[in-house]
This record gives sequence, structure tokens and C-alpha cells, in this order.
Amino acid sequence: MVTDSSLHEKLERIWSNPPGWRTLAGVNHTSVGIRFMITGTVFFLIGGVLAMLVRAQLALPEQTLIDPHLYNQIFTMHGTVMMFLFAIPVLEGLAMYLIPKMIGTRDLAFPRLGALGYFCYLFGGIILCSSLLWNMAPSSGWFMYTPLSDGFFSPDRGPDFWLLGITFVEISAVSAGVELVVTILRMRAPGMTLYKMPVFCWYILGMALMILFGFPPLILGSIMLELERSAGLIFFAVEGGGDPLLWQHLFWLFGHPEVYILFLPAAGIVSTIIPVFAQRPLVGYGWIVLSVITMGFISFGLWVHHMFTVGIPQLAQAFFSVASMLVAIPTGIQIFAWLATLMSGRVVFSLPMLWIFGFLVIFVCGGLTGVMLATVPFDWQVHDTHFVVAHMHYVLVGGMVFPLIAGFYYWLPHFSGKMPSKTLGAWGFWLTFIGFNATFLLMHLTGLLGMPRRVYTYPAGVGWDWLNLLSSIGGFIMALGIGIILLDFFLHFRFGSRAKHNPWNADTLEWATTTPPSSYNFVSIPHINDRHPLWTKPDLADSLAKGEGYLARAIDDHREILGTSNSDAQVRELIRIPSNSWLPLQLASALAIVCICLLARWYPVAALAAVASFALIFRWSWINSGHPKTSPADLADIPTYTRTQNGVGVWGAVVSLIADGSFYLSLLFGWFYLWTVAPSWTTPAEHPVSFPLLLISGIFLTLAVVIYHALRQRLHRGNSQSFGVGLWLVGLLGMCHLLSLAWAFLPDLQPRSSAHDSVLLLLFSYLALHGAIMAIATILQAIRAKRGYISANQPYEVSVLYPLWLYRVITFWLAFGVFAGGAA
Amino acid sequence: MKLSPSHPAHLVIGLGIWSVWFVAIYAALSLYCNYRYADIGKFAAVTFFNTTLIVSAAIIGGFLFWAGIWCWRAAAKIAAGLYWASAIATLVIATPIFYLPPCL
Repeated sequence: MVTDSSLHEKLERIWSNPPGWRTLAGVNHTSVGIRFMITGTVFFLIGGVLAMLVRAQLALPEQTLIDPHLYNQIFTMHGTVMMFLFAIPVLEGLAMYLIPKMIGTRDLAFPRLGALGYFCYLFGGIILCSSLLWNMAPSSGWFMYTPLSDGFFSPDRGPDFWLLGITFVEISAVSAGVELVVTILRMRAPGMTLYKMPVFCWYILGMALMILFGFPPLILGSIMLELERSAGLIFFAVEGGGDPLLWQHLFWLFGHPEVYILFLPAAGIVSTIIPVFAQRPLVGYGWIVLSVITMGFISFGLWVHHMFTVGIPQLAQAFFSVASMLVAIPTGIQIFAWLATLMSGRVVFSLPMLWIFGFLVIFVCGGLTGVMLATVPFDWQVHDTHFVVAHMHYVLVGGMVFPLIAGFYYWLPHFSGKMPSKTLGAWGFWLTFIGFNATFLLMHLTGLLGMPRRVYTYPAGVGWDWLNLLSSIGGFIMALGIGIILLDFFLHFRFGSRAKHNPWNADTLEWATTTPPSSYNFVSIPHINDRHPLWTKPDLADSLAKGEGYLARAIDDHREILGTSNSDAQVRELIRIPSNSWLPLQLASALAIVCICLLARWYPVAALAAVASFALIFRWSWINSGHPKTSPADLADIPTYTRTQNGVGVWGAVVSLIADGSFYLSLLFGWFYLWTVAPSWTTPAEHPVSFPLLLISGIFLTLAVVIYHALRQRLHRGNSQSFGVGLWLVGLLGMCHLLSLAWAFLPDLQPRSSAHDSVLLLLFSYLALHGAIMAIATILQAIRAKRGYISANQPYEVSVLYPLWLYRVITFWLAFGVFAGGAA
Repeated sequence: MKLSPSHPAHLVIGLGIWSVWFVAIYAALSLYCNYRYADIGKFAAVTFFNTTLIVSAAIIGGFLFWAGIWCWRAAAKIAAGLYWASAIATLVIATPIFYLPPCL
């Protein structure tokens, strides 16, 4: 490609990571995405070794290779590592790496958030896996069911490692969800309307939104269980008014959508690769978009099919059974669209296509056994047997790992600029494919013959011996296949042939960058007219490199990108995103200290680290928008984002509220569930919350929001008179609200004696935390207004905080209604 | 404010309505069976409760189907398809209400 070398050098200086160890302060999406993928691969290998230990133990009957307690730890950690530390983070990393390139921009919307997410993931993963070294790993299964995981049946620290480590890791998932949604909706290249978006972006948009809705119930459940274990609160213990089934509901509200959170990006890879190797556009783009959205919703209506045996009415089971079968329809639509694309194209059989072939075979089988399991009587028969384990691996390995490796081979020339070995790649595929089917196809039979899952051994002569032996042999063959793929990966850096530009003749924009890509992706931003920019304009890469697109400029250390409208991708604003920063690492380190101290039960140190974390968060918010470090130089005909009212920060706030709202609704669900279902739930004769004080607290809050609203309106009309004073008043009212809230709640609550008071305490903590954050953030805004970061000319930040205030007042009055209902 | 048929919100409104309806019927069923001890173990599917659920499905399904036609006429085909998918999901999930008693 021909590039404008002086512009290239300037852009490289602005966008690249610092050299040496200071690269840890780098926030560039390419680096962060690669870090996610490499770390995820390391965790995959750890999870794989654990799986081999399981298979070694089960290879022969009555083996004593591993004792039962260690076996429980191993299978628990295998599932946990694979689901939480490998599958989601690797796919997030791939999305973070690819999405900005595919939509023709230079970075993600919130690069520091991406870096924070990575460090939270890394530290959380290390904390969780370190439990294996201390022989304190969780042993209650990857779903951590209560009461097995409560303080009575699991008095060790294993569940604490799981609950705290996973919650820490989930910060990463939610942060990735927020920035992927905002990036896709607000930063696409001009002209790239929603329906001209690469289909991969639809899948990632679906995945990211599902993360925002799906993860908070588990975060809530984990907080509840940890509070029950370490602080004596009551949520799941029946005797105090709790209910262990609440955990199952919260877990599977996350757990079932999780399967589709993993499948959607993998299917996105398939939908991207198949048209390229068929050398024709994807058949049924509209149908696929429809299927992705439908799957995203319906997959949230399946969670109870994991609970068919807990004793719910047959009609309720039928609802979830039917929904579980329904979700097969959008899946089927996609499979037929892929087959039609292959049938109507001229297929080039290359290494990525081998994995696509493997995916189609295995995933269809997994989908069929899924429909079998959706049938309630069949589910009852095979519940908790190896049949379910086999089904799950067919869906997850077939539906996620095979497409991921297809994507790995497809984008490898993009990552490294070199081609992999066809011979090693083919060996890797066939060994993995044969090994996988030998392991798990036979496991269906083992399950049908009645072998329960999670048993560390089994008696000889019951018909399971040869099946288990062959499964174990298959497992080791598969491990050999994975080993060869890794060998291919390492060798290709040294021996791989140089990849030509766009080696597969792909149609999407990521191949318009250099390979490996520069830190800024594009010298200039393209204008997009159709869904296949590189097929309709084969010289687009050269033209962008010559600076013939938008924003072909480099000013000081400004990282500039374009913001576009969400639907029709018209240019809306010029955004300057933050540059390299130590804040993500500092904040993640502080949070890691909180996590470790909670594990060690050093609560005063944990509290100090939590305060430090908040201080860092507010420091983070300080270097933003109107701050001189992030305020862009004007572009003649495009407004800078600080002068707008609807920039990516506003979108970030609103999208974050989706996750926050999901958490809050889960909490209200927990309240109603315990109130109506828990067998020993009791409401105290005298309600512990003072309603007059609560009402006063609500009045303070509502006044604060009304004044904030008026200030915002006046500022947007260009009137900034007394604006700073007004913000101080709002902050003060927020503080009064907080104090009266604490006064209303805290004096009479007895959370260690009843689930009722435990839930109230959790609700209070939620409201108080939000109240404190809003009050402090508004006072900070008052100080920023005094310094000139916020003004009639730069009203942006007020619009960012406004939806958070609105959310705050809605959640408060909703909680008020709940308390009133609970008291009645 | 009226959303035009081509507004992207139509991509999620139909299935959003379906989700709320789905959670509502599950919650209503759970609460009903929790408090209506008299109906537990009864085999009759034709009950006032089941009839209410069917009526709710017919209203929601009908509305979603109509919304699909409205979008289709405005050439918003994917939005129309999503409304129809929501309508079908509503009606199909309501099918067991015809033959299963509420609290068995």
C-alpha cells in the first residue's frame, strides 16, 4: 500500500503504546484485544489440563489417581476457567480487536475502559486460579449451587475465591459490553448505515447487549452469596427466610443467555468467513439479522429449562420447553443461510473452511440434542448424567471453539502478516475433530446408560468401562490436536510465508488496514456506500492510506475519531478519546487489593482499598471531555463533542444503565421471590424502615433532580448564570438525601436475623452507593464549571450525568413502593 | 412522539413486549399456584386462570401481528419480521395453556 509517510509517522506517534514496560499504560484497542486473546488462550490451556486430569481419572473404573475432594475442585475449576476465563474474554478480545477496524474507525469509544476491563480480567483470573495452588479451589461445581456452596457445607474458602474472582472478572465483561455497544452504534464510518454494517457487527452488538442484561443477575447472586458466607446475611438459607432456589434463578438468568453470548460472536465469525470463501455475498443478510435479534431475546426465556427437576408446575415447564424449542428456529435459519451461501458460491477450500465444516457437523448435532433436552420427560431421564455433559460440549466446543479457531486461522495473517502452515493446520483440525467426537459422542451413550456427572469414579462391570476408556483416549487425541495448532501458531512467526495484502480476498474493512495493523488503523476514515467495500472498491485501502478519506490529519497528541448517527451514520461530531493512561492499571490494582483483602477477611484494608478505588474513579472522570487533555481542536464543519448534547459519553451512560437496571430488577426480583415463595419468609411486626424519613429523603432527591434538570435546560439555552452555584446546591441536596436515607434504614435493621432485613440492607446499599456517587460527581462538576471545563459553550458533561440522575430518582421511588408493599 | 416504521427501535420493541409478557405469565402462574391451594393437583385445563392467560396471549399476539403489517407496508421488512416472530413466539408459547392445568 502507498502511504503518506509523514502523516503515518505522526499518527503512529499519537496512537501507539509507550515503549518498554510502560506499554502497560497503553489503551489502544488492538493491544488490549490481543492481550485479552493471549491471556484467554493461557487460561484455555489451564482449563484443558484440568480436563485431561478428569479424563485420566475416569479412563478406568475404581481409579484412585485423584481423590474425590481434589476431583471436585478440578471439574469445578475446569468449567469455571473455560466459561469465565477463556470463552467470554477471548471472544470479547476478538471483538475489541476487530470491531473498530470493521466499522472504519480508529479505536473503541472508551479505550481506558477496555484497558481496565483487561486488568480486572487478568487479576481476577489469577486470583481464581491461585486457589488451585493453595488447594483451596472451589469444589461445588461451576454453577456454585446453594446450599452446597454455603458456609455450612463449604466452610473452606473455595466458594469465596469463586464468588469474588468471578465478580471481579465480570467487571471486564460488562465494561466490554458497554464500549462495544456504543462503538458500534455511534462510531461507524460515515455512510455505513445499520444495514450496511458487516454482519459480524450485528452479532457483536447482540452479544454485547446480552452481556449487559445477562451478567448483572449473577453479579447480584455472587454478592448475595458472599455476604451470606462472610457477613452472616440471609438470602439462600431457608431457616432465616431465604430460599436456595433463588440462587438457581439468578445463576441461570445469566447462565442460559451465556450460551448464546458465546454462540453469537462465534456464529458471527462463521457468517463472515463463509461468504469470503464462497466468494459471494451472504445469502439472507436480513434473515440473519432477524435471527440474531430473535435469539438474543428468546435465549433469555429459557433459564428455567435448567431447573425442570426442582418442582415447578407442568404448565410453567411447558412454557420454557416450548421457548427452548423455539430458539432452534433462528439457529436453523442461520444454518440454512450458510448452506445456501456455500451452495450458490464457488467455495475455496482453505484451512479456515475445515473448521467451519467441523463446526457445522458438531453444532447441528449439539443443537439436536438440545431440542431433545428441551422435552421435559427426556430431560428428567438424563438430568445430571453424562448425556448433558456431552450435549453441552457439542454446543460449546462445536458452537464456539471450532468457529473461534476458524477465525484464528482466518485473521492470523491480519495479526501477524504471515500465513500459517496448511499441513500442520490440517493435522491440528483432524486430530481435534476426531478426538472431540471420540470423547463426546460416546459420552452421550455413557449418559444414556445412566452414568451421573461429577462422580470421581464408577464401579467396573456396569457397561461404562469401555465408553469411558474410549472417551479418555479421544480426549488425549483432541489435546494433541490443540497442541499442534499451538505449534503452528508459534512456528508461523518464524517460518510462515509473508501474507499478501487481503490474502483471502475478503470484503470487510479490517483488511483495508496494513497487516499487521498500525496503531491507528486508518490514515483516513472511509465513506461507505455498500456492505462489501473491498469488493466494490478494491483500491480502497490505497486511497485511505493516501489520506483521501475523512480526518486525514494529526494534531499534537490528539487521538481523534468521528462520531456518527446511530442509524444512518451521518457525521455528528469530532471526538477526542483519551490517550495512554496508568489509571486503568491503578484502578484494577486497587480493586484487586479489595478482592484479596475480602478473601483474607482483612476488612479494614479492603475498605481503605475501596476508598482508593473510588478516588481513582473520580480522578478518571476528571480527565475527560472538557478537560484540556481531552478537548479536541475544532474541525471546520464538524462540531467537537464537548459542544454537543448527545455524544458517546451520553450513550455510554445510558448503555451502562442497562446493566445497572438489570442488576436492580434482579434485586427486586429477589425481594419478590423470597417474599412470595420462600417457605420461612417473615415480615417483622414493626417495619424497621422509617417511612417519614424515607419520604423526606425522596423529596431531597427529587428536588436535586428537578434543579439539575432546570440547570441543564438553561445551559443548553446558553445561560450559564449561577450554574456553578446551582450544581453545588444539587450536590448538597444529594448529600442530604443520602444522610436521611441512612437514618431511615440503618438504626433498626437486623440483617443477620432475617432475609427480610438482609434484602432491605442490600437495597439500601444499592441506593446509598448510587446516591453518594451522584452527589460527589455533581460537586466535581461544580468545580469543573468554575475551571471552565463546563460552560454554555461546552455543555456536554451535564448531559452525561443527567440520565444517571433520572435513573436515580426512578429507582428510589420504585424502591419506596417496594418497601411500602413489603410493609403492608 | 410517534416512531416512524423505519426507526431502529422497532427492531427490539416486539421482542421486548414478548419478553415482558413471557415473564409476566410465568410470574402470574407461580404466584397463582403459590396462593390458590384449591387448584393444586386439579386436572382441568379450562379454568378462569388459563382463560385469562390465553386472552392475554391473543391480545399481545394480535397487536404484534398488526405492528408487523404496519412495518411491512412501510417497507421496514426486518422490523416487520421481528414483530411477526414475536407474535408467533407469543402464540406458540401459549399453546400448552389449552391442555395443561395451571398448578399440576
